[in-house]
Amino acid sequence: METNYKEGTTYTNPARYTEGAIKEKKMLSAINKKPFLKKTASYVKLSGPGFLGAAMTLGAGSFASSIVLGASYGYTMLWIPIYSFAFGLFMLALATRFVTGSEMPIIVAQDKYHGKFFGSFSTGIVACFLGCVIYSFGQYALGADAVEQIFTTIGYGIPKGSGWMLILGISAPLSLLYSRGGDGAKFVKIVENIMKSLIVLMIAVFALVVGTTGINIPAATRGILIPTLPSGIDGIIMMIASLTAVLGVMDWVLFNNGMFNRGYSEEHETLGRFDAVFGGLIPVALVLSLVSIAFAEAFSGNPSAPTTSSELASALMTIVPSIWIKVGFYVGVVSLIITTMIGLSILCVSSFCQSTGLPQDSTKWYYKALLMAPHVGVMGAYFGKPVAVVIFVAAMQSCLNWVSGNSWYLLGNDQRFLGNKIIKSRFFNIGICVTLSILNMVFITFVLSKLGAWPA
Amino acid sequence: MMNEANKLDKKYFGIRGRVLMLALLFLFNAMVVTGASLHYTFGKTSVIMIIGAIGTIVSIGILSTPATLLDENEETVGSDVAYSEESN
Repeated sequence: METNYKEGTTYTNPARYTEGAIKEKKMLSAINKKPFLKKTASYVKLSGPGFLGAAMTLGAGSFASSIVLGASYGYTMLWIPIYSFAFGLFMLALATRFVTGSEMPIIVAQDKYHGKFFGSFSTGIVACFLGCVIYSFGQYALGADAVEQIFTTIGYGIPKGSGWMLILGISAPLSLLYSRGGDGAKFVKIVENIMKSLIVLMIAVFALVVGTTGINIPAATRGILIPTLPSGIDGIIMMIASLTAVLGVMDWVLFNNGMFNRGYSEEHETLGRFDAVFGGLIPVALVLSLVSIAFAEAFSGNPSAPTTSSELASALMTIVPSIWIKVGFYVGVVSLIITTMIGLSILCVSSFCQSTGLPQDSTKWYYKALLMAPHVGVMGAYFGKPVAVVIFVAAMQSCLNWVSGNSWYLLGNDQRFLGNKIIKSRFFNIGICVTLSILNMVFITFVLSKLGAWPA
Repeated sequence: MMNEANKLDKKYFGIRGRVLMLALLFLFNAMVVTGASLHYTFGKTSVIMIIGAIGTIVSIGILSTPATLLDENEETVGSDVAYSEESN
């Protein structure tokens, strides 16, 4: 499929017209009329792209920040992942509207209505493509350490850094399988189901760990329901940083592309919104909260919270007594990295093709090369993160994410793109504008910190 | 609401009202952050931060107005209507 915007081209999503997709569309028309419980049960079976989005959010970065929040602030910051993702839901709902209301890929639509700076450059290349390649280093660094810890725990030492082979060996074939699509997105659904299983596995093993470390239920309930922040500038810094961790353009675009690849049409809108909560919010909130709770119990009052990948990977060694629960914890970390790497690969290829106009043909050599591009991060297992490059890309993203966000808001209110499917709810627009304000503030704090007027 | 939406989607000096409001929202967001930095880091007045916060809330209130749905054949009518093809 030709993707980059060309004058006079009519854009169609081939995935919408496969036999399987048409069958699913008819089925959804019937499901949407069913009573709530029956409808929910059917949506659970059909969900999938939400888990892709969750996989992207649940990476080494959010895992590390949950550990630090739990270890440093105990239960008081448990609300952060839930509230942050809840804000992100507005953008995910907008991503759903784009797919169900138009057949034009989102980056192409940005190119057409706002120009290539907003679409191909800001959203496609900087936010998504570069992000996918650069952030993979941190994933591999943590994943490789976790694999080594599994083998060390059961008494089989493996050479330092070699843990990346397991991550690459599982995530690369699954990314290739996803890209084959198939009738009714057959292969897409297979990979989505594997992602679901891995996310369920993460929740189960982290719950087991919490079962071992213990949990203060009244404190956890307070921490989840009542938002509190340190007073003064520290509170503002923490709020902006935490909200940014789960309010990323990459998450929105991956969720959008996931639905695009499944051939979502008008009938899928409610399913898409359900999926954002069931496949996105719930798993993300559960996994990050469980990790925070484990470390709140383990490190409460201890100033030496783990920060490096090897410290993070071995953090629970002395606290969890059972070997098998230790192994389970590391298996959970490895699952988290594998699902993130699959998400990064899929987003890398789709964002690059949409930005440059290359056809998304999975039989072409460049498609496979782009799909494998994030796996350059295996070097992270030996050398860690290329800090200067990560800072450069993160800085570019801070400067451009708000540009992409503004463009999305305008597209959601643009009849030329969505026809009569434009946003009609004031509440929906408020949620999007609050998200935009957060993205704006991230950019402004970045500029102020460079000027020395904001604590770095 | 219809009138407010029309104003938002009209062009002023060649720029859509909605885009101008987004620029204003950005300005108020900048005032919140800069004001917070001045107040908490340098011990200056909190007025800038408060004006920024109020402006942010008002801007979001205005930007939340949904666009008015036009008929398909109305889309390119009138050079000041934002949905015209020239408004790219």
